[in-house]
Amino acid sequence: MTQLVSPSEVAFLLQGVAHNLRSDGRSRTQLRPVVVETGLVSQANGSSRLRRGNTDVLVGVKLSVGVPDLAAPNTGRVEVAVECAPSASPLFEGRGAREVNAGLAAAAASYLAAPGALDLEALCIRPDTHCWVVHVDAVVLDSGGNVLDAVCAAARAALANTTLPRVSTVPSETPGEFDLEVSDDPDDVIALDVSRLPVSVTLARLGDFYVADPTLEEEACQTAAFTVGVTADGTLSGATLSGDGGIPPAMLIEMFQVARKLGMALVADMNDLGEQEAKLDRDVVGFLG
Amino acid sequence: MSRREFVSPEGLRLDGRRPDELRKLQARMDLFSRADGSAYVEMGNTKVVAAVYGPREVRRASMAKHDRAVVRAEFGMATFATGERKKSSKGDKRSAEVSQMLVATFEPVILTELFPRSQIDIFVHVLQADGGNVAAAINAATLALIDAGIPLKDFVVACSAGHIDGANVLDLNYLEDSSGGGPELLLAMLPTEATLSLVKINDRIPLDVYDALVSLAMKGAALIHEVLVAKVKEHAHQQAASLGTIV
Repeated sequence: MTQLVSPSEVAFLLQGVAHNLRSDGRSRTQLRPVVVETGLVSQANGSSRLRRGNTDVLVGVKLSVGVPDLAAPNTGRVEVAVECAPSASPLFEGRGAREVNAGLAAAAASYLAAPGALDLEALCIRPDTHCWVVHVDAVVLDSGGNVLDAVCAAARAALANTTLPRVSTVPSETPGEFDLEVSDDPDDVIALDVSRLPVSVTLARLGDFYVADPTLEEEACQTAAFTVGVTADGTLSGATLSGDGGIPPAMLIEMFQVARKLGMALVADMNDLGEQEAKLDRDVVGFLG
Repeated sequence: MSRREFVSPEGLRLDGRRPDELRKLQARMDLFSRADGSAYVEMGNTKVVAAVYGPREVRRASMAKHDRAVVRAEFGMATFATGERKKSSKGDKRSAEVSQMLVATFEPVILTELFPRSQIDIFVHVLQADGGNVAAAINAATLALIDAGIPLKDFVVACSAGHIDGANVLDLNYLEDSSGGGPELLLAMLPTEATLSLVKINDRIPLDVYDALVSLAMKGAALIHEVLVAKVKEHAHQQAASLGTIV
């Protein structure tokens, strides 16, 4: 997702940041507005498309039945994969996006599959033998900076849109094995509890300042980036510092506080959006809108 | 085992269409900020996005052709596009085959001789698959190329038709495609001269049925052409209006 910036562009951006007025009109700690629609992929158990500036992410959640890990026999698991489509950058053609994909997936998984983020015990169907595997697959269709936060937020919306069919196990004809029995009523489903699922908030260091939710151009001139996972009640779940510029400890502490505030507001906003969307009697707009 | 009836005695298909009826076709152009051209096409429940880059400098000098542009294509599918979750489609055989089909379809239509030593890339991604993926991919790629402003000899419109239970049906959905059992024909057409640029048949097919299928698919392609032309005009109008060229 490289973007070329000239020295004069860098100077312009940095001066804007110093005056607390960024090139898209935002202040330093303002996020871009989020546009989200859920339930638009009918083949998936849950889905969402989220746009934030020019960043455009589609997430599909698919459920499959697997065998619990030996170390945790009464839990299910969450698997995260990210695919950057070539529409986001020509560099992503062929295997060009492999490393970016792996990096984004690992980063997103560290928040989405963190201990306590989802109730993994609720994903257990029968201890030792059957559990739900929740595949969270994100496609990055367009990039306008801060893809990680968009992937995490879109995944959160898609998981909130996901329902588990009610399933029980019955002894199979083969002794010692079990068959799955799915409830006959298609409306007899369990919603995933996303109340403890974090969103990620990224702050980028530009010169002596830091900005929230950086655009592609800002990412090109950042010297370091700091990402924090924040849940609805303000619990911090994981943080990552990247880039080669480093951040002084005093600034880092301030960034924690700012990220926490922004994250809590974002979760509240997204919950509101979800409730509003659920009330609408609407047709899917998808990519036609 | 009871056999599913693909065309009812009343002449209706599983999704309620008549045999010669297309699925609802909807499209949008210019979705993405970074690609030079992009488009989204929905044929019923099949949904694809296409992005086009170029003409731009070739990425590897050895690829360059001194008298024309190189056309490249990549076809991919989202992991959640199909009923069963699939691992990333990157590099699998089927995707490579469709990519080759896209190149073969568009290379003769793009005026490549205008851009020597450059390359044009077409990327298509299926977001939801419900039959007719390749046809939808070609239609989306046409719109994306037009959005990118790449000179073309003509539109390329693609449509499929199949022969199931003795009936010729247009624009097969996944169920008809996968369990219908009959031969399926995919064609791409240049509508102005009604020439065919791609014909692909996946099974044995009697000659008289072939004639009927080709004319049915061409009829479908002509209808698709009408929709796409209307879309391009609408988009051009919006663009012109936003520039203030027209009111």
